[in-house]
Amino acid sequence: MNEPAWLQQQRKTAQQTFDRLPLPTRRDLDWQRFDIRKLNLDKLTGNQPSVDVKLSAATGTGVIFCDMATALAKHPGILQEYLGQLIAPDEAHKFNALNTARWNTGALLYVPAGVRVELPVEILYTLTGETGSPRTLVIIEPGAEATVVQKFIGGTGAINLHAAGTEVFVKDGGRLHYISYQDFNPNVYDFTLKRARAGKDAEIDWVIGMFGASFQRYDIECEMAGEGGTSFMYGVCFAENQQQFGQFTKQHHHAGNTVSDLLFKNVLRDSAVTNFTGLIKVEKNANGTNAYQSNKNLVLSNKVKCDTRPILEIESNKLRCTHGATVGRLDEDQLFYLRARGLPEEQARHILLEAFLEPVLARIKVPAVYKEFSELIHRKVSR
Amino acid sequence: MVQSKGVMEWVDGNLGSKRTVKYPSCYLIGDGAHGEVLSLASADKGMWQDAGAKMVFMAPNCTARINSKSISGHGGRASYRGLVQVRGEAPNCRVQVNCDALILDAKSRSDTYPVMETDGDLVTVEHEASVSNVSDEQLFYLTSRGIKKEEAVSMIVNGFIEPIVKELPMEFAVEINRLINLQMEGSVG
Repeated sequence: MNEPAWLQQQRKTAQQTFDRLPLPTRRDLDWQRFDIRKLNLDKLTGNQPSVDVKLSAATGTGVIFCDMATALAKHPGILQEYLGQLIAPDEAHKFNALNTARWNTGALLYVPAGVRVELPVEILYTLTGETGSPRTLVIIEPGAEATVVQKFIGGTGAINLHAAGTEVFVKDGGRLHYISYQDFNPNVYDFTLKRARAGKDAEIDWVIGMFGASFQRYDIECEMAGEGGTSFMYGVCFAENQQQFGQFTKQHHHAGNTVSDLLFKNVLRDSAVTNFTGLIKVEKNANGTNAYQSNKNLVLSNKVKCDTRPILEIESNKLRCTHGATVGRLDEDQLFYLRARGLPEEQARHILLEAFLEPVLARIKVPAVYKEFSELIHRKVSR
Repeated sequence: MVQSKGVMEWVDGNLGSKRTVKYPSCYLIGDGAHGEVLSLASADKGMWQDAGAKMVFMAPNCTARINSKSISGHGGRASYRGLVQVRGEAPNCRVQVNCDALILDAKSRSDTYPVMETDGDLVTVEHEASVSNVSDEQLFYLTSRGIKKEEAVSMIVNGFIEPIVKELPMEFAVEINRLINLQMEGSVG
């Protein structure tokens, strides 16, 4: 593929960033609990990323929905304008840089002003080789509306490296419902970054599902750039066996009268490890901000390790900002209540587990995906 | 170090100095030990109060509570930095953390950096924090009753820290209230 000069430049810078940065170790604050020593980067980055992309059809006048190769050939202008705006190639984040340097597939969704895409737009990425680096770009023009369902699966069974990047722009008055989940095979090491910018009165509604893979570091960030914007981030994670999950969220309020809400629910069992680090940052002039953040963890085994770090950095003085974090077991009283009504203990536990995750699932507005989430969770619960 | 069934209670007030970095800690090393930190910080002009608490659970059946209140005004910066660490050998532990922050003006800043690390399932950790300003409704309520704005702000701030001051011996409570009032002088929300 003969790529335009601006993209070649981005990739070059990103490759330099990737080469310059060392692999994170347990000495780094964010990585204390994680073990990624199984990743042999030299070996893995030797081969071409290989991800199979499957897209549903999209309806609506002027809507562009295609894979990245087509986008490069037919809509280079859009890519040049947006690509790399939110994920800078020189940002000191090793695996984001890897994605920028190496992506060779992905998807572009462009919804022109005022257009409402009725049916959910579906993106299915299947990891077919040892490494994968898909890049997703979503642009919702003013007053437009869309629902995106993004699913990651696959993995060869050997140690795999997957680095995904997503940039999202929702402009003034636009609305986006974004559901993204992964159910990778074991031994996939996944590094995912999702970054969004919400304009004036725009709304972004995320639901994130973390189920598969051996290791996943999930960075999800939303920049509230325009007055009156809203961001909802909901995440559900079912960590079992030796799975490791890192969730790094950021609600960045640049403009006033913006609202953000976050709820991440994790279930940990066996020897699972999770680390939630959530930041709410409110800039000086973002008066009238209302921000909330909640991380709830259910621990089911004595070998799990569960960290939570909800962080606030506030520079505005006209706002309301709260957060909460809990780590706990299943409530004995609730368990007793159900058992006293004749339910066997195991079934009562399953009901409570599923009920714990339900508030996140209830945010999914696509019935088929809701069903898939609950079936996935049900399978894991009643393993 | 808190031994079996021991109780340690820190009351920590940080009202002055340019830069404060202080984290009273309890290492709960005996069965059933209890640790408690009451922390009060007020960051005025040119100050950065970086205060908080550490609770390290190293024995079973321990409990702890951290209660932190901070006020930042006149361009001061108040940060809560806390650590709650529950080691695997410390089952049936329970800890509750509350931190509230009040920001008085647009030049000031407030941060919360709690870290909670837990091993195993026999643990209950709860953390709650909020940051808010003196609301216009509260001010209006008081000023419309003939109270001067400055005094009203002072009353609201005093109400905000009341739960901590209440726990203090009377002499300290009086002192803290006076100190806070002194800092509030000239601050208009």
